[in-house]
Amino acid sequence: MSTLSMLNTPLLSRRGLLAAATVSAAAATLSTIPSASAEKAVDISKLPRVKQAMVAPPFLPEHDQVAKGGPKVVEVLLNIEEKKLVIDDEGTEVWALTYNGSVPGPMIVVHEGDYVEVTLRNLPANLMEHNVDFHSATGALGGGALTKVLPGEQAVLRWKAIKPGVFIYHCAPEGIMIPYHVVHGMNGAVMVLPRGGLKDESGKPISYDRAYFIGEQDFYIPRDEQGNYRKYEVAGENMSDALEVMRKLTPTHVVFNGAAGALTGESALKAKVGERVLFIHAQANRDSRPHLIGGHGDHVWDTGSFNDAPATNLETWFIRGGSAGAMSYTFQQPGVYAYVNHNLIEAVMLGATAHVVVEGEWNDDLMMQVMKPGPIPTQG
Amino acid sequence: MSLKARILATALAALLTAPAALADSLVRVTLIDKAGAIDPDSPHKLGMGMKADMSMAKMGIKASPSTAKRGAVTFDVTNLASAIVHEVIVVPITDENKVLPFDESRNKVDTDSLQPLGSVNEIEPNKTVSLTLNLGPGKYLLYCNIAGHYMAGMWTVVTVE
Repeated sequence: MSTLSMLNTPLLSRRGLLAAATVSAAAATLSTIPSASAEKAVDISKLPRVKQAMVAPPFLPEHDQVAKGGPKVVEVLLNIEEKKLVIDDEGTEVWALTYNGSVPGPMIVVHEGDYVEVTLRNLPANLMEHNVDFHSATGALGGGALTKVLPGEQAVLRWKAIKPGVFIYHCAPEGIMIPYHVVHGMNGAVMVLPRGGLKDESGKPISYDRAYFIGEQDFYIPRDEQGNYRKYEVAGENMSDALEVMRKLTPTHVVFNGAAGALTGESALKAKVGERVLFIHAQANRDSRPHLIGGHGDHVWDTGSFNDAPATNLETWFIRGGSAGAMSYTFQQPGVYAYVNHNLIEAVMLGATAHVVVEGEWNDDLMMQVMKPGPIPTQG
Repeated sequence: MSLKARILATALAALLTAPAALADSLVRVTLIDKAGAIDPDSPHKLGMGMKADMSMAKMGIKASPSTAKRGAVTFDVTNLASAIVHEVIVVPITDENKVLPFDESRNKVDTDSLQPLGSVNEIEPNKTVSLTLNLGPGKYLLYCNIAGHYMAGMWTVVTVE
């Protein structure tokens, strides 16, 4: 059923401002009159097409840092899956709403001027309508108005990457479902690299040896009368309970990559002394303040825009709720580093901690234990 | 509307929209829409007792748990549909393998022989409403009787012990 015919059906609910946007956006796709900007646009049908294989965070898909050749059409597939996840070591469950089965959803990496062609597939076993709003895209509520799919449907959306930087994407169906879906895990990120790659504060090109995607997620898990976290049999069943918890704005969990401890222990991030590592940090709903304990933010694009010169040598940086930012650091000492949200209550009590295990030679010049802990010498 | 009537109406509305009053049993009910339009001219055949492949259902009701204790049973009904209004009617049944009388011309369950115990109507998308009923042991059908919805799979059975 098309959006337009649905609006003529008497059984539908009243729809608000967003519905009007849906109609105008749908009408835009039906229009045969090219706009002024379309006349200048490149012939997309002649561009090379590449399929980007999605990988689960914290990893990024294979990509070139400096673009080879001209713009291309990058095809990506996002399978929406409603899926029960365990989010801490006490067995707390959430029926997560996911892109490709992970929280956060996979990162998409393209270059400025490329076209991203997204197939958004709502798997038949799901129970809810979903869509996707790309903060990196232009028009139609970030594509949200053109991608609403019921279980068993798919839509294809193409958008041009015109702003270099890191951006979130998230589900935004309508009304109360927007925050509900976002705080049940339905968000991910896009990195639009400048065609010439990243530049430091003086405009000099820099490259990274590794990159990691850290998606911070706030969860609001309802409790029963005894204070235990409730479990539910199907996705969406927690709706009224969850909305009550969400309304208090106090998350029960703030985690990296879907669960407390998802990036520690055997799943800790890895690096070597001398390697420059790019960390992309996304928070689709709530402010965060990343900090690398024992290191620094050498270059920080905390607003996410790669057109801006990065700030340098930061101790802690800021990720605005509803955005992604990037930081690069060249590790200079081996050991275990903690990458945290430096609201330490959230880091330690709610789960927002990752570890980076770094191999290499210790540098006594940078730090040395002059005296091991021991008794305070008596005055002689 | 007089002030008194208005207060009463507000109180009634609050009763219908406020989820989860404490009851002896709580059954969470979710209403689901999937891809595929409901064609009034050729109704689906996915009603109770029709032994149909329910995985083909375009609409559905899930109740959990599907059993409740006798006494006050509260149904917290959440409409997960994004655009379609639903209703839920509760009727006692004796046999869940029995096919319900159906009015083909209206594409609705023929309710003449049924005795509804309660219902929640006009449930807007993404809203949760509650209904508390005093139920004795037996089987109860929960279904939506908006044209086409029942045969599209919008029913489930709850057992009270």
